[in-house]
Amino acid sequence: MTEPLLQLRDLRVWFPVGEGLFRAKRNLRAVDGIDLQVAPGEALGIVGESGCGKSTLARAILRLVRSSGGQILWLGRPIEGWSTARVRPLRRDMQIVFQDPLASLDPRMTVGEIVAEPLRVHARDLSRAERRERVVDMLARVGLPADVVNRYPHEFSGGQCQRIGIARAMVLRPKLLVCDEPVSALDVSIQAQIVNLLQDLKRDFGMTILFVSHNLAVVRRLCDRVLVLYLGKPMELASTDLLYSQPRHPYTQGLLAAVPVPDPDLQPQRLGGALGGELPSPLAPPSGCVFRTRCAHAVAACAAAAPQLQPVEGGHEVACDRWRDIGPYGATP
Amino acid sequence: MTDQAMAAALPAGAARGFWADAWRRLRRNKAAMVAASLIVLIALLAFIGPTFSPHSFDAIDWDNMAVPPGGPNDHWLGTDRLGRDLFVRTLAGVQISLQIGLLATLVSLCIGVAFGATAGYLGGKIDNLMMRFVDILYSLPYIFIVIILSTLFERGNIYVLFLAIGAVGWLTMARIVRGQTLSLKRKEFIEAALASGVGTPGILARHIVPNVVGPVIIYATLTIPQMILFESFLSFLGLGVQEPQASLGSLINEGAQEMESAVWMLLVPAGFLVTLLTCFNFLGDGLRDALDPRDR
Repeated sequence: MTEPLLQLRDLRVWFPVGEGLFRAKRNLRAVDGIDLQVAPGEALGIVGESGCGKSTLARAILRLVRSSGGQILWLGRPIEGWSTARVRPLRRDMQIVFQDPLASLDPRMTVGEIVAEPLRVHARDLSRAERRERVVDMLARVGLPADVVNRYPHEFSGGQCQRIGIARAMVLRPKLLVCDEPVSALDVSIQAQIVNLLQDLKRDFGMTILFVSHNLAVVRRLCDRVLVLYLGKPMELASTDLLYSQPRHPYTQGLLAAVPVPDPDLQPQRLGGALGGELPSPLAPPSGCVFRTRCAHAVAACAAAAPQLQPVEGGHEVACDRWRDIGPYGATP
Repeated sequence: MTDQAMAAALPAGAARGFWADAWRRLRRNKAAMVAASLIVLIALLAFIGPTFSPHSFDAIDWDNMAVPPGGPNDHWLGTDRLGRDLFVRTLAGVQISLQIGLLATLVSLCIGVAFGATAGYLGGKIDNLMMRFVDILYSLPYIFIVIILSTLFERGNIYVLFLAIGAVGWLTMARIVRGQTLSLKRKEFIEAALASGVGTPGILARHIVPNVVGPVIIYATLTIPQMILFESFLSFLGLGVQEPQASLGSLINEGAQEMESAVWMLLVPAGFLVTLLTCFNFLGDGLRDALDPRDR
């Protein structure tokens, strides 16, 4: 195996909350112990419910939020303690596409200025003409004509804005593209276009993609491997084929069961049971296995110790001590 | 989607920027446009007008003391107690008042925007420290500071004095800009700039300041009349412009003393002052309507 592009070792991001004179300091554990290896050219999906730490994980990898513990290794070098100035040269290789296409574009800048901004920082020796040429070229790659450079973001639709956001992220030809829910704010038909665009760009430029989403269908289409998060902890990590065909963790099974089936006759034959209950507060996560409060298979032992990721087969890992009993399709308890 | 289809999906017409939009809305606002034209007219009159009159602002006409407007002489708006031409003196006063209003506003603008944007963007302890400093300055009596300053600097050096007033008058501007910055810095386009490696000065200059410019312009337009009024107040108290220089405030002061026998000495400068202040306020209102992002 080639050297991993990115490695996470027990990465934690805790936010201190409720700091006050008379109150004890508590920690919101947004990301709590993630181990991960990402190979060059891979597309890794990160899925989970809202508030499970997906976006925080993505931002911690890009050093947009500070990690509180563990290691981030970029091409084998630990970068988690580096100063902003020291990280800056690395940023040309790691870029991000945001969820809200319009909010991620400065309303006072023209599209040309927006897409050129990374070039201004990282390719300072380019002349104006060369910079413009690269901007127009990149805009063409995302399917926008050259004359958009003088227009302002509010003149474009959501899908077009997202193309502009992708052009800005790709203009430096980064090694890693983090997509933070890039399609969830878009219409379904536009979603498909954007996913196709990302696939085309990946084929042409060979960058690694970290795709954060709660849309399981989109992840299945785009990603090679999938990491399932719950309350900041990894639940299951597997290749897309294995995860969707033989989900091992009850949470993954629940997520897949919650995907609507467009045929009422097939509806009763879904995998396992859908998820019930509410997401517990990340300020006071359950003891032991964090998922046990909503798990149909939970037993007394689940409250005692937090299960670690354990290998199943072929790189498939699951953080559940009862995976052998539960089986790949969520047998009834 | 092909390039052609994409191009067709774009709105037709020339690229319309934020400023073109705002300008279009401002032009539709009749009150603001009338006010703006009046300000330009008065400013032109103040700087060109005196050259048409045979008198200078400090020349004494011994034959025509305290004559009312429209008399059989070439003092179009009459003369004051000392026989100085009121038309020229008032225009000289408008000149000084306008210059002072603009200068003091410019100073408060520069300090306020830089201070507010820095405090808001950096946040945390630095923000706390910087804004408590503003609070302390706020709680000092304004007029007291100005009186101290006017005794420290040599009397009559009006520009130094108003540079100092502008330097104290930036407090509200700093608060407005800080508030705007606080809401801006959570926006994703700031995070996008951070992810691209743009440093703090770059983010402040290229992203924060251009985005707070709307409220800043509105507040600045409303600050100019405040500064003019404040100058008039100080001159009225005798702390501002010194004889034989004239500002609108000192002219009104002189006029008020003669109000029972020669009311035109009060009405002429007061008329110019009221017109200017009203116009600036209307223009400020118009700009607020034109630049308000909620309207977009």
